Amino acid sequence: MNRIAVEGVSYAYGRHPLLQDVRFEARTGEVLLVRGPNGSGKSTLLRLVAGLLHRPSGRVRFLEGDREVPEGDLRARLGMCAVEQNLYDELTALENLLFFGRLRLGGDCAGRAEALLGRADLHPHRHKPVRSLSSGMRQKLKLLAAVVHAPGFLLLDEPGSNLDARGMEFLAGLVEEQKDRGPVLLATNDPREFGHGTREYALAL
Amino acid sequence: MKPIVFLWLLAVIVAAFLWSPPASGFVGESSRIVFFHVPAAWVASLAFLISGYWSVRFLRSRDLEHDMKAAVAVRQGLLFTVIATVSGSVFAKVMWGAYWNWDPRQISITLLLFIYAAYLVLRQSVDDPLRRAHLSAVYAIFAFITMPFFVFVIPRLYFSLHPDTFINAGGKIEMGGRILATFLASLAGFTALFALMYRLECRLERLLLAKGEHA
Amino acid sequence: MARASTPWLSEAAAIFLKDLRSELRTKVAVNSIVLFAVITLALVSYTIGPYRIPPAEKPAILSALLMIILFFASMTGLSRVFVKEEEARTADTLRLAADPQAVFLGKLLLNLLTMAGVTAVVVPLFSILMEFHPMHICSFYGITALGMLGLTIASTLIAAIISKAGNKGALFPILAFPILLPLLLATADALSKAAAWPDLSFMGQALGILVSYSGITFFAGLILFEKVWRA
Repeated sequence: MNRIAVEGVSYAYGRHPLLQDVRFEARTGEVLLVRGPNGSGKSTLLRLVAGLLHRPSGRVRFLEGDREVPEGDLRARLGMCAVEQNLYDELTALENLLFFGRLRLGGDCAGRAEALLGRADLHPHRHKPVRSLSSGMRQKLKLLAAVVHAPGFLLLDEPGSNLDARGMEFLAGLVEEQKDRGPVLLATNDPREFGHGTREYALAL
Repeated sequence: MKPIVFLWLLAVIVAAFLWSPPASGFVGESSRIVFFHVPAAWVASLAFLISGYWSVRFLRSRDLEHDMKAAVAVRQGLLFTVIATVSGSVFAKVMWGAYWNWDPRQISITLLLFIYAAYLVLRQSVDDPLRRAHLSAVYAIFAFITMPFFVFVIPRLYFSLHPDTFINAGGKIEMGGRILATFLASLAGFTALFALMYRLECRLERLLLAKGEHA
Repeated sequence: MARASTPWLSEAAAIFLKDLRSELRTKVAVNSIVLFAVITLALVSYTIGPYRIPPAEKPAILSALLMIILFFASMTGLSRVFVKEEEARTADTLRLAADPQAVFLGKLLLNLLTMAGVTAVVVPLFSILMEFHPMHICSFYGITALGMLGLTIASTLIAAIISKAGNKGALFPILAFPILLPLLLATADALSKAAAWPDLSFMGQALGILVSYSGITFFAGLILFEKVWRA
């Protein structure tokens, strides 16, 4: 049983408070929808959880059973897909997956990478540079890169952007599979993605 | 505290020009510069040390107050570095005939100027306070670490005309009684003035910081 | 329980290979540094040329010019390893996946390779164009290599700093200059001695300075980099 525990996280941009005392917990089997209007801090909250922003107050714990995952091990356990996190344009789809898999797992994950590419209908494009892929294909590839190491915790920020109906099916399958591995935080305003959620955390402006 | 320091410095100025005799071996009255030039250079180096200290503290604590203390030390260090450089140049002109002699000490102080200036430009180039604090702290520490190479390299490349500091290589104190007394009094006075200015600007910055957070 | 992840040396190698692959496909950094160096070199040879400098002054002046050319050339390309990650918005993706020290090491390795290539082109070209024939050729190239090693290590940490600030292009030389100055002065001095001194008695001290500069900036960089990378 994996859990993400967010305990009293606040954040301000300069003198404008954005998030105040955010508290929630999500566990394996749960997909927590983070909702709120534009500018309410959904992306910032996910970045704070991932540790990409310094947390001025409060803390975030990643737990496997009762054991807290140390910060240094987090990169092997956590996956994240967000709008402002790109892949390497001049590398091919497969090279990108292998690179991130190698960093996070240490080993060669060619088999898993190829299988994932197949599931996303990207197998025929695996040797093309990311630059030449369509925006929808790139989004699917980003999702694959976020789960290439089968993470125990997953953060998704608007994962459905640029995806067509078939892409949304792929996303649904991915989330369904992932929530058995561990908690998923899903920040979105897209009604097509609301169905994935098992619970909701609403942010106000 | 403030009036004591001001009276003290007033006494130092009077003593420097009227009470203390000029040192032998210098052109005219030029030796009197030592009472102002050396303390300014001392405070400039002290400020560099303090900014390094608070930079390390910041990286450990991530407390913006520590970052602010490092930045204030740099700003005031820059002021005293300019005073030391200008007063040194005037002395060099009187003594050796040129404002700039490529003396090791002149070069060393310009390095301090370059570091301070680069530090302040870096701070201006970053908007987010926490990021600015991290980047400038790392830069200050990195500059601090490479500084000893400069101190080692420069005297081996350039010939020095600069008078020995008041304790010369033999460890003997070179100054006469009144000169030494005035010099030490000035050193204490400059340090106290710096402490006063430093605390004042920190208070000001703290108020600005608080205003920024609660407005 | 899954083992955390790779030992960081092999991780650094993966990052190095990733960047090398990108660089080989675009060749932006090497091309810009080499071109910049050649332009400066051309400017120096057109304006000064080999014959306007009295022979006695040649070692000191040409060594200084060489250092100036290499310094400014390196400032055009060594920041790319980090600036590109920030501008292409891949930095966060990498931050989440990689160990900070491995990132520093991988980026440093690529910069070292780049500067090795640049030096291998520029220094012989400089010798030919300026008719600069050092007395102790091996020591001359050895000192150049050590000088560039120190320059690259220190510049890589500065590059990480400026990649997170605004006004990156101008900031890089401004921040790097005071850090590199002792190294540049020591290298230029040692080069001029390697070019003209009858013996090699200067080498001990020169090597001491250059090696310890590289060593100290390397360990300081390794420790400080994480603070920059996560800032």
